[in-house]
Amino acid sequence: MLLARLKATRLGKWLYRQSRHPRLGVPLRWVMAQGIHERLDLAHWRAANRRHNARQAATLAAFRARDTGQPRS
Amino acid sequence: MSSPRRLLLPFCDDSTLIFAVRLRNLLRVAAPEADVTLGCYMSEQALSLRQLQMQLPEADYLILSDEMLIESVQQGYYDAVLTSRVFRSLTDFLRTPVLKHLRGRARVIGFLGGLDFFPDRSYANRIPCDGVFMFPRGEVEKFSAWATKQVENDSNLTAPLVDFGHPTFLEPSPTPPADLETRRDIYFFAQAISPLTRRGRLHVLEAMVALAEANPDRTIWIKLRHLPDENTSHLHREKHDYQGLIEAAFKSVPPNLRLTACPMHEALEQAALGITCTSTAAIDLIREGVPTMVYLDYVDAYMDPMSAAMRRIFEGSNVITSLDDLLHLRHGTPDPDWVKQMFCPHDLGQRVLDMVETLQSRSASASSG
Repeated sequence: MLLARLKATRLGKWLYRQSRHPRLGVPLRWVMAQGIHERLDLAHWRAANRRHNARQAATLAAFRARDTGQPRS
Repeated sequence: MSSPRRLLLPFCDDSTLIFAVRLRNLLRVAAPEADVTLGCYMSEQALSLRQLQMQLPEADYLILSDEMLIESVQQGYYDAVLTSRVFRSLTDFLRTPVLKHLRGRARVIGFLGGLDFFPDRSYANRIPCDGVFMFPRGEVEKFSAWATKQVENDSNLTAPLVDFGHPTFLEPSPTPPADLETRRDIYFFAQAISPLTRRGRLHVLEAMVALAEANPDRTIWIKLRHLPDENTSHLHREKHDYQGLIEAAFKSVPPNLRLTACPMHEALEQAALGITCTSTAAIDLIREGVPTMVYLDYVDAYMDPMSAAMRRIFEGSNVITSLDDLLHLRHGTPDPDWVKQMFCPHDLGQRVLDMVETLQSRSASASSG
C-alpha cells in the first residue's frame, strides 16, 4: 500500500507531525478526513480493482432504481 | 481437596473487557467458589466511563499498573492470569528466564483477541505464555507444531499447553431464538478500521440507506462499536466514523436508518438479521442463531487486508454474501462443519480450570523434583 510505505518514510513521519499542529495541520487534517490521500494509491488503477468497484456501484444503483426506474441521488 | 482458584483477568479496552466479562461468567458457572478478579491495566487503558458502566455496572475490578501486574504474577498472588492480549510487560516477564522459571509465580494463559486475521503475529505474541487457547479447531495442531519448532531453536522457550476455544466462540444453540420470526430490525455491525477507506465506508452507508428505503417497515440500525469520542487510543482507531460520514456526505437519510451504541446483547436480542464486514459480531450473530451476512465486496475492499483475511476465515461458512443478496435480504445458513471447527463446546470454563490445574501441578512437581 502506498500510504503504508509513505508512513514509514521520513517525509511521511514529518507530514504526520505537521498534521498534529493546531493551525498548520488544519489543511492536512482536512485532506485526511476527506480520504483524498487514500485515492492516491496505485492499486486503484488496476483493471480488476476498477471493475470490482464499478460492479458494486452498478449493483447498488440498479437496486435503488428498481422501483422508480430512475437512479436516486 | 485443592483451595479455590485465584484468577486474574486483565482488560484495557472494549475488546479485552468483553472477553474478560464473558470468561468470568463461564468460570463462575464452572467453579462458583473460584476467586475471579478483573483488573484494569492502566498502561493501555482506552475505555470511556460509558463503556465501563455498560460492561461493569458493579465496578467490581481493581486497578493494575505495570508494576502491580508484574508483581501479581511474580509473587503468585493469583494462580493464573487469563488474558486475550499478552501485554508487553507480561511478554518481557515471560521472556526473562529467571522469571519464567520462578517457583510459585502465576501461570499466564493467553487467548486470541478475536478473529485472528494475522496468525503469524498472534503466534509470536502467545508463545511465551504457559498455556494458549486457539481457534478454529485446526489451529490447535498448527500452533502446537509451530511452538515445538520454536522451542527447538530457542532454549529460553517452553512449549505452552494448547487447547481449543474462546468465550465468544461458544457453540450456537441448535434452535434459533423463539421470537426470531416476529423480529423486524436489521443491524449493521460497524468495525473501526474496516472498510478501511472513506469511499468504502460511504459505499456501505449507501447500501444501508438503500435497505432502509426498500424496507420502510423495518428499522436499519448501524450498531456503532463505540461513540466517536471513544476509543481514541484504542489499538484500532477509527478514522472515518459513520456518524461523521452521514453528517458530511448525506443531505438526509431515511428516518428508519438509525445509529446506536447499545450493548451487544441488546442488539443480538432484537436483530432479525445482522450484517457486518469484518467484525467479530458475525460470530456473535451465528452463536445466537440470528441470520448473518458477511459482506466483503465493498468498494476499495482490495485496499483492506482485513477483507481478504475475513474471507479466508469464513471460507466455507456459507454466510459470505454478495451485495445483490444483501440488498434483497437473501441470507445463507451457516455450514455445520464450519461451525464445528470455529465454535467450542460450552465446557470452556472447566477446561480453562483444568489447564490452570495442570500448569500448577507441573510447576509444583518441577520445584519438588
